[in-house]
Amino acid sequence: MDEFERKLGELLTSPFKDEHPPVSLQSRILRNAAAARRRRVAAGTVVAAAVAGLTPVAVMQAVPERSPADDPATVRATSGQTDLSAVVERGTIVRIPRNLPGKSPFEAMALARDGTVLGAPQAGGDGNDGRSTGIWRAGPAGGLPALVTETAPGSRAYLWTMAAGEAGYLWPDGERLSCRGRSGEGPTRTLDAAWGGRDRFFADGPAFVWGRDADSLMVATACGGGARTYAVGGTLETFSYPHAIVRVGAGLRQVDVRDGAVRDLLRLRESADPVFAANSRLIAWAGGGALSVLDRDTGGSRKILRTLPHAADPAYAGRITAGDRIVAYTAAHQDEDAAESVVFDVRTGREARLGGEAWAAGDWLLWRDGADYRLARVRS
Amino acid sequence: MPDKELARFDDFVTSRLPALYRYACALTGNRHDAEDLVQEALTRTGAGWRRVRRKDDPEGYVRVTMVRLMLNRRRRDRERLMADPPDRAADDQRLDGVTALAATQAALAGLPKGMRAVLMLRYVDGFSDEQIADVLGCSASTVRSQASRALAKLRAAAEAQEESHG
Repeated sequence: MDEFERKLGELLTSPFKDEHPPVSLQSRILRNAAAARRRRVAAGTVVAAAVAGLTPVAVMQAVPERSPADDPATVRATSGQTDLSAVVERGTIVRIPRNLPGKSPFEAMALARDGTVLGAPQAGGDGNDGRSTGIWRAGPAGGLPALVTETAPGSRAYLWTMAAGEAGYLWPDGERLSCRGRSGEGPTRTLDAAWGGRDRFFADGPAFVWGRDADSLMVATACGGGARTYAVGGTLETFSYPHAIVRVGAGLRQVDVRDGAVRDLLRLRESADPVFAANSRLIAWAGGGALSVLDRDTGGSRKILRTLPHAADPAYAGRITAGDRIVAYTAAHQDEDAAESVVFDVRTGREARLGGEAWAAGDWLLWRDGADYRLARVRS
Repeated sequence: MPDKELARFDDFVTSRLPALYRYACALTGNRHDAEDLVQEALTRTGAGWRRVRRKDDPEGYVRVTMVRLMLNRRRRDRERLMADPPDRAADDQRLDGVTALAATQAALAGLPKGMRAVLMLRYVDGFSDEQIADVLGCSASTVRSQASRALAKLRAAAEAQEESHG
């Protein structure tokens, strides 16, 4: 190596030695990485399912959406089987196969009050798919999910969650928030081009709500309409129309999206970041290995479960959803297709532990059962 | 998010982003492409952070990821930030070295991506030709050929500049 070569390293780097990354770059990276991580599924998932002897695709397609075999409401649990017959109506269980034509298996990402299930094909091993993966929907009647709309190639890594409500459907399109109208009808539009990719968003009742820049709450009532902004000074955590639940430091605050009225709810004690869900009567949150609820009428809060699955395992991320009667907590592995859930009946205090994901919304429970999803009405 | 691993990734990005960004600038010669490149490389790294962390050198992993991403990308028609040549010839002998340097940097900015990547890996990262070949998915002889051609271009640019200043 001569003198010229010895100087080359310096020559290559010196023009940029005073460069600094743009201010927003770090937050974009963290946001995108978190989104990709949530949705990243090990490429071996499908292979593992086949090796485990799950139902072959051709047979799955031939089986009707509802069958007597579905009615014994037992599901694979952490060990053995869990009987869900105390939680769901036996005759309402339907099957949602996960095999999508020409795609990787369907991954549910949202359950609406009317039993609509939104999702997308699982991400590839690198967390991103160069092709359009699309937004897919299954209905309360079960059956194979159907394509709602195509998505931009390469945008799969950004699809970490979705939302569906009366006002329509929401999903991330890169760092923009995209929407379709009621029942997924009408053209796909950009609801917020400056959304950013990481803030939470929800659809419930006639409203869409989403967070912006960790201190603003955005509200819209139609996919093609305008949005209203509330400066709430905190992070949107969950939503049950008409109340958005916002966290400001350790405080939980309720914001009425119709008029912006604010009401302080409680101060959290957990040191870890909890995850939240709400229905019209309660707010539930999971943190520090425990599940707690706040009765929004009485203001009383209590711990209802102290042993959530994988609470101390950093490989698992928690997610919580609330139906009218039940709360579903899922700990999902962030790199593999593995999850455990607890379904808690708030009125009876009964719990059911499942060896897969679970969602609750309205009077519906959706859960993963091996190669399929199952959807059923919760017992009244 | 109650995840110590993710907190470590956040810390890693916070502490190493400036250096990685500058590396990306040097790699691409282009501030805009550098921003895209470091964002994509760190996003991928963050998605598989637990796996990456098990490696000894996450920063080296990100650098190699950036090299591979850059070479896999389509050439973009974007502004190139080239070292600005002096506005006019300067008689000051002390500036001869400076103008030769500027000419070399201009030549560096004009190198094809593959050659630039080879030079970065060889003279900034200190990789052997065999290690570079492994990163780029080519043979060591191809690496040596690319490096030789790149060096010849750069030497020619520097010598031409020196000759023009007598």
